[in-house]
Amino acid sequence: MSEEMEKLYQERLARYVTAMRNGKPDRVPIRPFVAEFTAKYAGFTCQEVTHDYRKAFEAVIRCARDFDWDAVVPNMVYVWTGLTTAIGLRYYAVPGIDLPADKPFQYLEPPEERAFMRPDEYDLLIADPTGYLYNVWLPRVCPEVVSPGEPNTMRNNLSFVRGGMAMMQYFDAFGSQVERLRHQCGVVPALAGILKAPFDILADKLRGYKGLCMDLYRQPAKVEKACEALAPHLLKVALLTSDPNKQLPVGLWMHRGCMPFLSPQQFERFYWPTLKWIIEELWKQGIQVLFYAEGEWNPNLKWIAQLPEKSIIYHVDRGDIFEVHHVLGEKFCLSGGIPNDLLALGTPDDVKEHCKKVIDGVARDGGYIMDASAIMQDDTKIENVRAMTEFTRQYGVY
Amino acid sequence: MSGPAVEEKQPRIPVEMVRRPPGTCFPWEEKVRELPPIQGDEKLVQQIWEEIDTLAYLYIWQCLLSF
Repeated sequence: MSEEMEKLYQERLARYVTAMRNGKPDRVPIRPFVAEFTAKYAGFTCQEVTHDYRKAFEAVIRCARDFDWDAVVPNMVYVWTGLTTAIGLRYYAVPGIDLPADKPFQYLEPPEERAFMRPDEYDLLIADPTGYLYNVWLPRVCPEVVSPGEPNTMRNNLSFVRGGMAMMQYFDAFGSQVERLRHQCGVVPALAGILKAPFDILADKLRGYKGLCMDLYRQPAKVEKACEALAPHLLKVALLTSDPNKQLPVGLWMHRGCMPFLSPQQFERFYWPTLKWIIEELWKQGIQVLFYAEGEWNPNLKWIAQLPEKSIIYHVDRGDIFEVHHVLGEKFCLSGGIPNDLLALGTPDDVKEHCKKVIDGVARDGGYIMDASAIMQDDTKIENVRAMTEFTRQYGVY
Repeated sequence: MSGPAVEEKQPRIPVEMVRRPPGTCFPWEEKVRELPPIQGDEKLVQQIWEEIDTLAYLYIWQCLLSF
């Protein structure tokens, strides 16, 4: 690695970390969450970057070389469908198989009566979450996996060998990808580790959103207990996958906590207590959380304000970023707030104008990271990402 | 998108009554009972068991969280 590249990396790391701690760096850091956008830029199809992670990694490297970004996720098309296909996971529509090759992958939620967790199985989950996942959930989501007590099959055995080895290969490859980003591009990995809210896990992968909504009325105490049973495990996975140097945040991807999926009262009772506990436990160990508030979260800001100072980087999607700054800006770094429809449909001048408004409104004292509101897919115009990047570099100097 | 048409699977559920703390699939306290008396360094055997068992733990939780 050249000394120049290492110097660039260290400058960007300092800029990014300073902003995440709600401080004022030398300039506004740029950390775009780019997913299928990278494929578009690098000339790959969605199928190529989703099904062959080596192409996804290459697409990120090409973007990181060409755009002046401080940090980027090493692969934001994170679901490697080569692995999910190899183990037979049934809840994805895969580009090139179930979908045209130029469409991003989709998550499939089963009908309520075929939810991956039945309404009468809460006690099993609560008593032994890991056992439940292996014994009940996995055989349901992977048809090749047999349930305990059923005759074994070669396909069952192969599912675990394929799955275990593929997962190891994939996660090992992230290490090389992080090194490439550093040595070839001088760019910092934006995140390390994974976290989901207990309620979201129940909604996304177990009961399904509709089934869980019924449970909130029919068996609310079980929902609370299930969130409490899941929380220590989700904390453990976040710790096991986090940055050992404690510089990079754990990514928290939230789906069903915002309006209109949950009312503020439901959020306070079901969603928030266990998630708050996990974030506080991580922060006790010096680990920040990238709080990806997908959707409209402003009705919940008063609860989020309860979190310890600097414990999160609050990413703004559809909420009014100026209101978020007013409520949370003293405590937390913010990121995002540049609308995706503007990046997809607007002109470079429209984008620059909006970036100016956001920088003027929320970044004056530091504690802001430039990004789109939501993860950028292949509808994002390349010239608009270039405009966002170049304008922020010129205007966002402290 | 609406859900996949799938064959119904109703697993029999002989959930073992093993206490599995976070990070663990099959605790050392259970495993050691299956082994003959350990003649060498038991701590080493335990450490390696737990490290590999944690990989099995991460496998299922990563399936749930990341895939």
